[in-house]
Amino acid sequence: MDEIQLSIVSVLFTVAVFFFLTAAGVALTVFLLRNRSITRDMELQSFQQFWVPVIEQCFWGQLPENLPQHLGKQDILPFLELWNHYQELFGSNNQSLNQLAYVVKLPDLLPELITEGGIREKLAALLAAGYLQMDSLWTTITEMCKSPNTITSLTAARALIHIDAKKAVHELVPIIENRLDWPKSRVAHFLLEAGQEAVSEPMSEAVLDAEPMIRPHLIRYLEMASYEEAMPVLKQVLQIAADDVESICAALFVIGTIGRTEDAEAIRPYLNDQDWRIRLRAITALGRLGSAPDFEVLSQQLSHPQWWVRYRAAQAMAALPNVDKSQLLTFSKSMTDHYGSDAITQVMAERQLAELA
Amino acid sequence: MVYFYPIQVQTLMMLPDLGTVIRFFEVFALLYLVGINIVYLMLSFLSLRFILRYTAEHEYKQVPPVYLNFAPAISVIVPAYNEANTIITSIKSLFNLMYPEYEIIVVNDGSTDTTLDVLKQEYDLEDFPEAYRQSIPCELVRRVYMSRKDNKLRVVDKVNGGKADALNAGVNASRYPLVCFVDADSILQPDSLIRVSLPFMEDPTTVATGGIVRIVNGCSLGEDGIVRPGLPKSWLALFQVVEYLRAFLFGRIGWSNLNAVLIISGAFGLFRKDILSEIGGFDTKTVGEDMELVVRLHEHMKLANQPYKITFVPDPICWTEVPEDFKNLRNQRVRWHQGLAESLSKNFNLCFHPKSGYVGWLAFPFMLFCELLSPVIELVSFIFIVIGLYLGFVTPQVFAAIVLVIVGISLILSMTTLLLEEMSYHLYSKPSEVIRLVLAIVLENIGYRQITLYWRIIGLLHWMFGRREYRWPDITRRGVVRVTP
Repeated sequence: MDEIQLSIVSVLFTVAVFFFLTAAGVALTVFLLRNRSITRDMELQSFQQFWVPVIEQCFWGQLPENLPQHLGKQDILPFLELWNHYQELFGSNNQSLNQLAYVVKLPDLLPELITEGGIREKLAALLAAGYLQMDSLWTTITEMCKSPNTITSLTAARALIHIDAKKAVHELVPIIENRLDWPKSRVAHFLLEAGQEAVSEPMSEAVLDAEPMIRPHLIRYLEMASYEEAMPVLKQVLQIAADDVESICAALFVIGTIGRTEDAEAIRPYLNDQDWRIRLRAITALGRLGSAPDFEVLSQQLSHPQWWVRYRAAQAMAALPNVDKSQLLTFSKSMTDHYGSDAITQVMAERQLAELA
Repeated sequence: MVYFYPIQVQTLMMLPDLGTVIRFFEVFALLYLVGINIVYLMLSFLSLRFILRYTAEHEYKQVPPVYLNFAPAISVIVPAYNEANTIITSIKSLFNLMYPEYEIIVVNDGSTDTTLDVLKQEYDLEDFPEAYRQSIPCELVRRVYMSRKDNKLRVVDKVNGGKADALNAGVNASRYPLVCFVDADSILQPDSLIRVSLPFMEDPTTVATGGIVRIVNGCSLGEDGIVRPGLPKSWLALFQVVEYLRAFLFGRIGWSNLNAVLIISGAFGLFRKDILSEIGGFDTKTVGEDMELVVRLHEHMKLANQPYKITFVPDPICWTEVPEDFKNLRNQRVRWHQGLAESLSKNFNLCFHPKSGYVGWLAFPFMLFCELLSPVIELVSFIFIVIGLYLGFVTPQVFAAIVLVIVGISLILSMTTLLLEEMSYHLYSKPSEVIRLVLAIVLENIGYRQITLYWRIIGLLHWMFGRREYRWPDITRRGVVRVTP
């Protein structure tokens, strides 16, 4: 080997040794971390041994004596999550759990956790602030409702509802209009928690004033408003938004959900709409609000080319009052169109299985 | 001929001598392998940053209950072909899922064993006259069954058409807006579905998510899934544990940071059904249908300028059985590499496309040069260096130094994976397990890596020379051992 080759070899060997030592260093770090993790698990175990019985006692309405006056830094998050969990189980504000929170000075910790904490701390602190009805954090939590993170913003909205439902809905309606990322089921859930009294007026006003793009999105929430307040608004929507498929669909859906038999008249004109989505909603609504004479008009939908229209028509027919299995079976056998009879057969089988379950 | 002779001489005179060629390959091999490993190291740093942030936000052991309220309904689709040994264990784990609203659709793809009978017996299946609608083309569906025990379960019995075809039939039968594909031999944890669906709740542009697949061999199983993670006794399976850690912990998570994940494992993935139908479902003419779908999904969304996210969830949420014998492992690896070649070649339009972003400019070329072609490049370089060693162009010292550098950097890479695992999920809790993993990392360099390289070349040859069977993989499942509860 010449000198150049020798120096190349020695450089390569040096690099290789460096790599081997680095790999050994990483392996050593893994072992040290393993040790640390074992210690951390032991700490968490001792936290649970102490706090789970205390919180369970509070859950049943008994505040134990001689409790610590504050929480250790590493205990704050586990405590918050445990405490929230039991509040959630209780379903509403549990007074003993709230007292416990004040004993350990939890309310003093929440503002910083909400503004400075990681996502888990934020969520847990927001929920706790709601349960503790901390009006002092109203402005901060309202700001959090505008957070780009969907979960954070929704949890903040829920906290506001817990603090003051009526004031919260007024504050939240304009935000709901703009937060298309908020899942409807979640918004509906917290509006349900807020109650009809809080929801009816602001939501009805918002639906009538909304831009056509936003309106269908808001109409669905009228389900959480009172019948007396929502139904006139829904019928008004059918008039003012005649060309807006989305709004008509949403209004028909809500009429079908909260409506009464006398509201079926508002639905029937839409059974022959050109747009199959509107037809679908009208069929579903009529299944809930219709009466036996609607059987025939619904059966005409069984020949529609859209699978969903046929399926929903069959479901609606089966759901009509005074329509029994034998009537459906006879009708199905008399059909010449197998698409329609397939839909009826499936719905009958589903009902049979549901009855068995 | 007269004209050719002088040209041949000239050409020969212009050709470099064998020593130069061998020295060129020597340097090329070194640079190529160091280069690949440096890219992997960079990916591992991206993953480290992501995993640390993620685990801080979503503690592994507990999903905040608040998330359950946001969960969209999911159809879980389980394609099955001759899975009589494993299907019940798998479905039991699906019934234990902690998720508010979901249905389970098992697609029996014309099994020739007792898969359908086992299902009928265990779940009391009843012939269900479903008005089945076919939005994605697939083979004939013979019957749809519904369980009398739990109407969450339906079984679609169809004519054999391959895994991709079975998945498409499952999508057609699904009722919910998200569809989750689970292999019949996969074991899920109760919180698997909620974890993999979190990105859909957090970002409405999410179109697909996948999760880390871990190895079930050696784990203790109970009614609710994994009771205690453990390592397999077999060294062959142990090497695969290291491989899976490397592939998932920094391969896919690293790319996920850049929204450039190209593979969501067929063992467990969640997709938006409307987008899936829009792109025509799974391609039935590939053996790597899972990867092909994701690459096509990227291509569709990128070229249509639609905002989207394909996310990888780093939680260990799906467990699968790996082969413990050479025959099955070989079949699997050959298929995987053939699938990779098919996925990339079918969607080559994405590579360096002006609209393709990180996917087309980084992830795709990386998969092409560092994954697909790497076995060929490594083999050719190795052959040249060995010839050089034999002919005396390369000294044994240089050869040894090159090998040591390459092994050294790959050791750093694998140890970093172990570090990532320890900093995030540390599933293997016993110190003795950590020692075994360290040993596996060292020993896989002697023989195992070389043999898998050979199988990958076979896979590439199958793709090149048209040996294509778009049917179910020929892998024998042993069936996982259950512990007594």
